[in-house]
Amino acid sequence: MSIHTIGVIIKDWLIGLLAGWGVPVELSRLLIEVLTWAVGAALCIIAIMLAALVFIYLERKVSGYIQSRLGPTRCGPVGILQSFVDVIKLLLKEDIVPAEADRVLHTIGPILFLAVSALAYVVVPWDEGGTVAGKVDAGVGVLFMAAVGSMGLIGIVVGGWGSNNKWSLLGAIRGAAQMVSYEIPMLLALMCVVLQAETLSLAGIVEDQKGSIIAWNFLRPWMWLPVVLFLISGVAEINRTPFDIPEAESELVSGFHTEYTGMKFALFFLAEYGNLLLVALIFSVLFLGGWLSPFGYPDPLRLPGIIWLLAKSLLIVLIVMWVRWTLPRLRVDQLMGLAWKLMIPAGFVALGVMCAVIMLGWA
Amino acid sequence: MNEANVGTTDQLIVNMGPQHPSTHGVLRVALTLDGERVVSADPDIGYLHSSMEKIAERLDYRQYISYTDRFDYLGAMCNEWVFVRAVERLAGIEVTPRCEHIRLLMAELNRLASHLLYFGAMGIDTGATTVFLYCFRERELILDLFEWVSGQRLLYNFLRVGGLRNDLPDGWVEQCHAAMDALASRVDEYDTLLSENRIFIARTRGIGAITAEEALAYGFSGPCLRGCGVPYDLRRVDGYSLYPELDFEVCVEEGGDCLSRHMVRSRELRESIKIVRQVLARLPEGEVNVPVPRRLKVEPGEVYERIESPRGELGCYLVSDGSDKPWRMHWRAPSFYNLAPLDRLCRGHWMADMVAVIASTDIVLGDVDR
Amino acid sequence: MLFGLPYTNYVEYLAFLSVAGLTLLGGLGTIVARRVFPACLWLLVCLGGVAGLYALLAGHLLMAVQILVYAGAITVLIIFAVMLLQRHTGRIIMAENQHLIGGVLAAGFMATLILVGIFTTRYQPLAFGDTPATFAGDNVKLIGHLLLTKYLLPFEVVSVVLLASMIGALVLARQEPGENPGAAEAPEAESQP
Repeated sequence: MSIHTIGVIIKDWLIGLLAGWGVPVELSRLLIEVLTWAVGAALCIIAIMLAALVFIYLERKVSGYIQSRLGPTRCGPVGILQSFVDVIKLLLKEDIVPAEADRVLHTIGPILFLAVSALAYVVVPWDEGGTVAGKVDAGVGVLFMAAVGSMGLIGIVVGGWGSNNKWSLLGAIRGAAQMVSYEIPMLLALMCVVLQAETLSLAGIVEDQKGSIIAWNFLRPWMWLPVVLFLISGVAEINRTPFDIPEAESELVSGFHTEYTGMKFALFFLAEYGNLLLVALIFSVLFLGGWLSPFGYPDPLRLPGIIWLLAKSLLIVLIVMWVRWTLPRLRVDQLMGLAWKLMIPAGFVALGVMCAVIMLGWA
Repeated sequence: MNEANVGTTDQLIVNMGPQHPSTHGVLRVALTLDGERVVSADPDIGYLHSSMEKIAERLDYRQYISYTDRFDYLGAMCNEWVFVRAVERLAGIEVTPRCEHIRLLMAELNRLASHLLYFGAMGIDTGATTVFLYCFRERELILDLFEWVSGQRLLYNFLRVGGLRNDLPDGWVEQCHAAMDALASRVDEYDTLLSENRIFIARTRGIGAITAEEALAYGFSGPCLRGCGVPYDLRRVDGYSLYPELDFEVCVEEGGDCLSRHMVRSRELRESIKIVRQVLARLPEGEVNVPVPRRLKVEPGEVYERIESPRGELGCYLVSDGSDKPWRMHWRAPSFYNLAPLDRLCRGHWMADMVAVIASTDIVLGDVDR
Repeated sequence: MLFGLPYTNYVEYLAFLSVAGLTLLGGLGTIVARRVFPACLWLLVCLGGVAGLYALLAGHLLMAVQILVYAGAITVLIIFAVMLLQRHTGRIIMAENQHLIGGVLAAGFMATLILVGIFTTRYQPLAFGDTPATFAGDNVKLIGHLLLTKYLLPFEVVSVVLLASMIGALVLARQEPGENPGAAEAPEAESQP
């Protein structure tokens, strides 16, 4: 049973309920529509929170495994409650704003960062017909995602600037430069998939890959370059090692969030893990068939599509974590060089190849 | 905006330290940046100054040994060794062969521990956190050995004028063999993880480069100098203690940059393992202590004793007026000289390279400030 | 039905009023704000509001492009410039309305254009949430098609303008070979505390 069917069932039930109370059908339909938006918006935030809760624990355990140590063990069985303890700790911390900081900007920085991250979730196709903003996605899903993604750095910039700290400012500048640069190869990789699927809709891209694992984009040879480009620029967009220069701990102390504690810091943290999940989700949608089962469509195992989507995303998240705990950090100029001298030309090559493939009719 | 300003950019002055994660203690660097380029880097030291040299004038030779541990706290055995060697030379004391072997063993183990910590710090400063924990895992093996023999993990207070605090405990030699075997198999792993990593090489090659002439003029020593292509290792140059009888290579790299300094230490890890194994194999039996009066008075005179510490030429200058306390003492602390050309090393490089440069000179702020 | 109008109309008005109000607020904030950085953020609000208006008109492509180009790129660029200038020099740049007369004239001209546009267009009434039937639910294809056929020349001319500005930026920012800012200004730097 897909999310879409469940939604329809709940809607019909509510309309029946309201009709029983004497509410006009027209009004109840409208109320339910508004309610759906609200629930959808809440789901986006909840997805980020769940992602953060799971990934904080996962990251600690994975890094512990990689670094031959245990990771959290004390809170709950095998430390499973560690994330909750972290959240409580952050909630209880005093909120400190530096004396010379811009109080308003300092506050809205993390909020903007999280809001933008949550906004991108509205076009994620969780399941067949399971997109929060299906209408937006049907028209311009990929473009909307990219557009919203490009605003993510505003939160970083505002937070870094509002802290009135030179390290934070350097971090913010680095973050802005990095995210602007890596957006280009990311978009080029996205364009290849869009050309392949002939639609801007993320749900449509999944539909295009319908079938078993053989039909997925990552098995098409002309998609290999976009796969690599998207993964690298995705990691760069979410500021994780080896591209974590905006918050490089050993250089910039912590970059744009040096001056943040408590819940404001937690908002940055939430958004970072939310972005991690988002990149993994989008990668799964673009190249790994989204909510499709690897055994064919319809799924012979009859599992909800969201499970397949999350399983694929988890795989990507684990790869990203593995990379993080293995590689050193690039320097800022090398990072820019990689983007502008290597990845953007490679992106154009990938796009050219994709066009050639379409012209030759292989796609 | 006046005419002179057109086309130029304003500079940003930032304080790096004293509370900064990668200044290896309490170093403060007043950084002038143009964008992220270092225009000048002015090290400001003294935050850990504790009058080590003046304190020596008030303590007798035995009491001061525990102080020597505390300046270069990563090479405590070497500090003790150079101090007791200086006192013994002034007093004309000859130690037993077993004692000399154990002292050398301790110094080399300490070099291993120090270089391992360097490896980890270099990793963490360039963003590779995992190698840091791997190195600490192996450093733990050596610290366990130290703890077993001296009861301490960092500040050993193990050497005595004329001998040692105690002989090696039973089973220690076997444990040491096992630790060396474990370490030898893992050094290659660090190289795969860090030294051969493309990103790491890109971060360190050509960064903080200095020529041999300049390095000598600045008073570089140890792995920093050997990274400039100068085969200057006191273990060979002076040939003190048992080193002339041991088979090891003086590791030299040509580049003079961060990567060369890193590779020197990487190779020295292997050489030190080799030395430790040789010493363990030829460790003689017998006493470790020679009788020394409780209140040791040495003849008036002065002495400069130097050894190769993990950081370079560690010198101890001692003047005696015939009493039981030094009349004046001075440390030639290698970190101080290795830190001196920081501005020269960093100028024109990126801010992020500062971190790599500081890590590659492997300074200990206790050693710099004393 | 409430007072003779479908309920959806009220929602639509509510949504329009809030988004339009937000846009106006943003625009007002941009010109009223004393300091440049908050003014930039108000501009962001204003541009975001415009994107919301496009969304209400079911112009999803325009909305996405508005966010991508104006909110995501242009504002960031402005913020970047302000940030680099301000914090590095330590001066706070105030937003002074120096060009008041010119500004009023330009704004008046724009307002006239827009008002003329508003009052001369013939509108097709649409139900709330519907996409215009002529776009057949996919105005991306239509716009793409028009850009590459009917409006190909203007489209390419615009890209030439972009290329020219890019080259101009490169020329301005380029350093002569061997001109290392760090090394060149090093002697000065030493005299600083």
